Amino acid sequence: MFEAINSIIWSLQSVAFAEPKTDTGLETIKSIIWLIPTLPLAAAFLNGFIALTFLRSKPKSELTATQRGLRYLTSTIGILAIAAALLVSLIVLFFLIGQDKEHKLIQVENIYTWIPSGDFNIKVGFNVDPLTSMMTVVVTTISLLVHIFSTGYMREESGYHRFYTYLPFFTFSMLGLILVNNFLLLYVFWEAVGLSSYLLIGYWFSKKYDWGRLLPSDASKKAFIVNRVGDFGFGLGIMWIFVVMLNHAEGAAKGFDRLNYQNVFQVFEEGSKTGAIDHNTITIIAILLFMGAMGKSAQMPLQVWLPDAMAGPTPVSALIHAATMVTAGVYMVGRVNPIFSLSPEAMTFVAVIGILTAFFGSTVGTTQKDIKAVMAYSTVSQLGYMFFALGVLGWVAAFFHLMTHAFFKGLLFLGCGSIIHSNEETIHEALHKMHLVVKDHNLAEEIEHAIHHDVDPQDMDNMGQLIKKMPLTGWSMVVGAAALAGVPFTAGFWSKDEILGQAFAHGQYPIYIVGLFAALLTAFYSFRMIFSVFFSGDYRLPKAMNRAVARAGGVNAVEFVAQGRKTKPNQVEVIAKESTKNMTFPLVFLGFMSIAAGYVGLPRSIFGGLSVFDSFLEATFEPAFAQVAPKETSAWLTVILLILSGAIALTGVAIAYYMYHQNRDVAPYRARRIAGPLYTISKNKWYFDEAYDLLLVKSGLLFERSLWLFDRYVIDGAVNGTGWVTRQSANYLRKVQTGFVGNYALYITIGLVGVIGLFYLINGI
Amino acid sequence: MFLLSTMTYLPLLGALLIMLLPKKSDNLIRWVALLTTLVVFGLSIYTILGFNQDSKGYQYEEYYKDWIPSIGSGYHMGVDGVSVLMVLLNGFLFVLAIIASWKPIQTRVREYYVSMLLLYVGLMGVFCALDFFLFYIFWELVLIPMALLIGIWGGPRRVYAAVKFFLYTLVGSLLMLLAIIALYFQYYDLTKTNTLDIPTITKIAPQFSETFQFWAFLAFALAFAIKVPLWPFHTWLPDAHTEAPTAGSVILAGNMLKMGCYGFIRFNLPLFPDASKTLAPLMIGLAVIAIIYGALVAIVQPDMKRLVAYTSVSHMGFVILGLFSFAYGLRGKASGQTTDVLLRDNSAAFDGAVFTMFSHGLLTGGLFLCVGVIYDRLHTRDIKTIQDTTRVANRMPAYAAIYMLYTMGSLGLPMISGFVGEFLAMQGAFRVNGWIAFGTSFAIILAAIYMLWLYQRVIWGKPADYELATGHDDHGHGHGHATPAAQVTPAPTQASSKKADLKWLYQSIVLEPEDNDSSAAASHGTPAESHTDSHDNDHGHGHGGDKDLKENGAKFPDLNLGEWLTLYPMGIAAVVLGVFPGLVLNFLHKPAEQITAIFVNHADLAATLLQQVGK
Repeated sequence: MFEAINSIIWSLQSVAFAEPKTDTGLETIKSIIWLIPTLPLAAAFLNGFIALTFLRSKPKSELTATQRGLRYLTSTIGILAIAAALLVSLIVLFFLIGQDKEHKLIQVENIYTWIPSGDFNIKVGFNVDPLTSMMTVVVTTISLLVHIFSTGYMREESGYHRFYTYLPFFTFSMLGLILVNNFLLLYVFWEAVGLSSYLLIGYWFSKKYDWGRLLPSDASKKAFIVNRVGDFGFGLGIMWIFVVMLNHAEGAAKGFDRLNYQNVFQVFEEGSKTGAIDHNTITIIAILLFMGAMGKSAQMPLQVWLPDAMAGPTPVSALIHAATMVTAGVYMVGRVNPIFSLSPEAMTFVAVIGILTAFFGSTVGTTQKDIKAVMAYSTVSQLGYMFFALGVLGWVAAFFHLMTHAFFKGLLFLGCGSIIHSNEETIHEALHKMHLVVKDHNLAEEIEHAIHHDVDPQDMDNMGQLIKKMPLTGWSMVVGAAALAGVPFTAGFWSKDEILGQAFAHGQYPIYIVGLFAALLTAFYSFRMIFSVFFSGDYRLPKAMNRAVARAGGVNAVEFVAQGRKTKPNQVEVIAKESTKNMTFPLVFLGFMSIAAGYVGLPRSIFGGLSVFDSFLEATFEPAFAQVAPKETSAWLTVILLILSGAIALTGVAIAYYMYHQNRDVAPYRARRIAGPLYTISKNKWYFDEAYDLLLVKSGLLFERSLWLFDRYVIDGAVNGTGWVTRQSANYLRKVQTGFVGNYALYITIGLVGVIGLFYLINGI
Repeated sequence: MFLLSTMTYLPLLGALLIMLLPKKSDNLIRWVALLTTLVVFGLSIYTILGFNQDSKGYQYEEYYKDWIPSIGSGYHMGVDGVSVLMVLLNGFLFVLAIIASWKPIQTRVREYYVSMLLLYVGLMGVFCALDFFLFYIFWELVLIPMALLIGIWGGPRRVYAAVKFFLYTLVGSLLMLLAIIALYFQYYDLTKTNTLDIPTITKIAPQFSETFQFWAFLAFALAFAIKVPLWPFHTWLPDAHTEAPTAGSVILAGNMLKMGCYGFIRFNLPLFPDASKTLAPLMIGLAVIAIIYGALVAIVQPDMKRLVAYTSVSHMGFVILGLFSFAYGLRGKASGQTTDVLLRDNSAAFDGAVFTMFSHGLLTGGLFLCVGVIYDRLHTRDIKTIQDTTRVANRMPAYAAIYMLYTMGSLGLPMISGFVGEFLAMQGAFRVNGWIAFGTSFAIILAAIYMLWLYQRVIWGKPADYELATGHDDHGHGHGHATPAAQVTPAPTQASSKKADLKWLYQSIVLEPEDNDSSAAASHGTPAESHTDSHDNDHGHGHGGDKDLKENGAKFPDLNLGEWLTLYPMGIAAVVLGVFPGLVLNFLHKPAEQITAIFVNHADLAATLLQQVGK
């Protein structure tokens, strides 16, 4: 551990003071990269140990003082580990920024041979280039903020320590995924991300009721299995790459790692150039790999798991949706760009899937009432943006959007968490006071049950005017939503416009137009959320509780009153509160980033060298640019496109303002009537879940059950049948042996006659 | 010097010692058994540490040529890279099996441990014997104690399962005996000498005619396929597993299934190279069916053990897939290629197969131990009943954690041992034909479905409140709710025996100090507290404790010492192997090379013969 700290300090010094190009600097960087994934892993193990040995699943109220200390220790360990990983990532990032274009690739090779098996040699190592480095910084930043936020959000949880075991493990998995240098190791961490998301989504496994949403125990399973469907293709793609490598790198030395990125890219590039590798093979491999991305990054038709992944605690949703897991697919396509760029067909496939998903997500997002569902579908949609950006060869644009999206989506989700937490606290508080006011025990129980059953703290219909109660959360979310909507001069504006600009520049006009339409919907639904949660009308939570109580039959027994009015004897005061500082700090920070992050990647055609992001990331996409040179729109066209997309965004915001701020009681319902079936389809998420349930789950179970019957009655029946036949025939044959001498004499006589008869028959009489 | 024989017969000595002990001294018997297995485990570690990975041929050889001169049988023991791994697996799993039987086995303790140790003798012998006569003795020796273990200490349908197991595998072994005799005479025809020595016969195996190879291959293959078990010869396995006691299941899955795989490696491939090549597509086909079929049927099993048994069918399919992809790969290219190139190109499949054998022993063994833990507490393995009875995860977090590890290992999560073997086997299959890999890849989806669904139902419970079991001792948790589901389980036990079971259950589970603490703490909860708790719980956040947990926590303790000692070491071993598969894979280079050499020599021989005929 001390060595590690020493080496960090040493590298800090070397980065700060020494010549950046010296070899010692490079060696130091190489020697600290392993810390980035290992620190969170160590934290996860340590916390897991503490949790299992000292805390188990005891609720907070039953813990001793020492145990409480340990409980908080787990979160401290987690935060410190992630902070350290962030620090190391920053060091590496700044080191890379200081390097020339040719030296922007650090390879730490052969830490040890993972699988030594004939020509199948998998050597563990790291591959750090600008893309990697950018991703590690984003992931660790978001993860750190989520860790901090969770100390508030999960404060009362009895599984606090369990949560802080999973969270660093999730971060570790994602960091490993980014850093490794090998396809099979990519698959390893790909799966590890699946596992950690499974654990986190299923965190509240004992939840019994979730206001009609899929329960965590089901949602986590669904996430894992749907991801596995993607991995099905991903694994096959990797195997195929290996076989191709086997045929085309015959003369390789012993111990040659045939799945190492650089080796694979080299062979594929040469093979494609000389025509040794069939073009269709490359296309199919790319599409198989992309299947994995469709699973992890929730692209159609495998997007179904993501919205249900909301069943996890909200900070987890933030982590899954903003920085880790869902971006893994985007990252993978970017990482494998030397192969993808060899096949225009595969890129078209990526673009089509991307734009379809972007459109799908934005249509569904407009009608959801659950605040987290809106955000979930917005993530689906934004990931679609990233993929079609990749598909139209806007490599850098996709990752620029990935970065800005990480900040503003992280912000929005944590903001949702803050709101939900506040709503829950409010309901909790109200019920507590209700118990003081209502003396009749049965009635109190009834009221409590009614409220728990009917008042969904995530339902936007139960919200309104929260900006006054929660200004920090509110204003930072406004910034986040503006970035999501692409309101001019936010980070999202710059990044989304770059994507659309790339589509335009590469002449993909249909994609551009659909993208623009999806942007309009995006702006609409993000501000629909902002207005209905923070601004319009009044604070609706008390009303909703009153309605629930009235429906349950406790009319007039108790009245919930919002803050500001006088409280009468049979009334309960309801006060929404701003979340604590450990929750608002990440929000404010992310709010700042949601603006600032956009200014590292301003459009190059206008601002030229100011676009640091582009010139930094270009090194990674060198192979792709070698195939098709990057295209940009001219300065004037860029300005026009910027104005157009800014106007589209503002239009969306204006519609939302009209419908959900001015006329919230009328306009949405009128719109619903006008839209008719379109509304129903959107509200029901295009019926994907229903279709899968029928086609795969139900019919699958039917098939499996019948196969089991086949197993029992046909295969096993044959086995038992053989036994039965043997026994029965033995039963009959047994009767032959009667034990009477007379019978035996008869048999002998018959036998004798038979033999003699046979003898005469053969020899002729 | 006599290391292998010592390891083989030491358990016999232990069994004799136990027979001499007085009948009542149950604990002494357990300790003797444990010490015996520990010593053998130590010896097996010593063996593997002293094993030279880089030398060809058998090591630790013991050879007395004139054991039974009249039939040419010698006493020949020895291990190569594959069998030394199996010996280690034997050593490891038997220690755990003895510990796992500590509490659950309370009747006929002496007989139980004698059977266990005799089984140990047989299993060690099978993997060490290098003489057909000796091998066959050990092969059949395994059957009897296992059938006894199932038939005496098993579940309600134990006799049916034991008889089925015994007869089914016996049928296979008889065919094998026939093939061995045929081999014996074939060898005599070729060399005019009598021998049953396996390495000696293997040396001249290339001279066997193709027809002979074909039929002998089938006879051996049937015996081994039943043992593996390969589809469609698998139906004895779910019955045997379901009825066997926990430790019996562990040994059955961990070691006995490996006998079949080992048979394929030791006999089918090197003795009948031609037949292996021509019949490889058939075997690969059966393996693919087994993989998918086993997984599909596993999904809908209502019984935990039966489910795990079907996953075994699926996993063992990967072994056969790997082995015969290897054999198939050694085909076509014939004499043009050197052994080195052929080996390099194909050894991944072989490595994958053997690695799967090893890791399946750990992971499936672990899963059966996990089932045993639940069974000891609830006396049911019916998934629905468990789900309806209690939320296990809240009560037994340490158990839930380790169960998760096995679940993930079994569904092929990388960095746990299961993945490496399966991926290598699939990779090997991909080289034969991409569509085979395509077909088998469905298993990774299906594995996720059956494993996670099982985990959800067993560990996370049902998404609803549990009725409070109010703690009448004669009507404990589980059986109170078990009535509807009891119809599902075959042959429900009598009510009186149920009561006796429960009584035994409470007596036999020793509470951990921690659990006492929690129960004491739970009893302090005032009504008001529990009220807010339940409210929080409804809320979904689980701020407070589970009411059910508070009421019954003490009767449903987390892992006891024995369970810790079995489950955790096994899980750690699985992870270590997953992270450092080289530990096992390095043992396989030479065996794979030897088999390849036989195939190449044989092909060369055939080529030269062909040339001579041509001239």
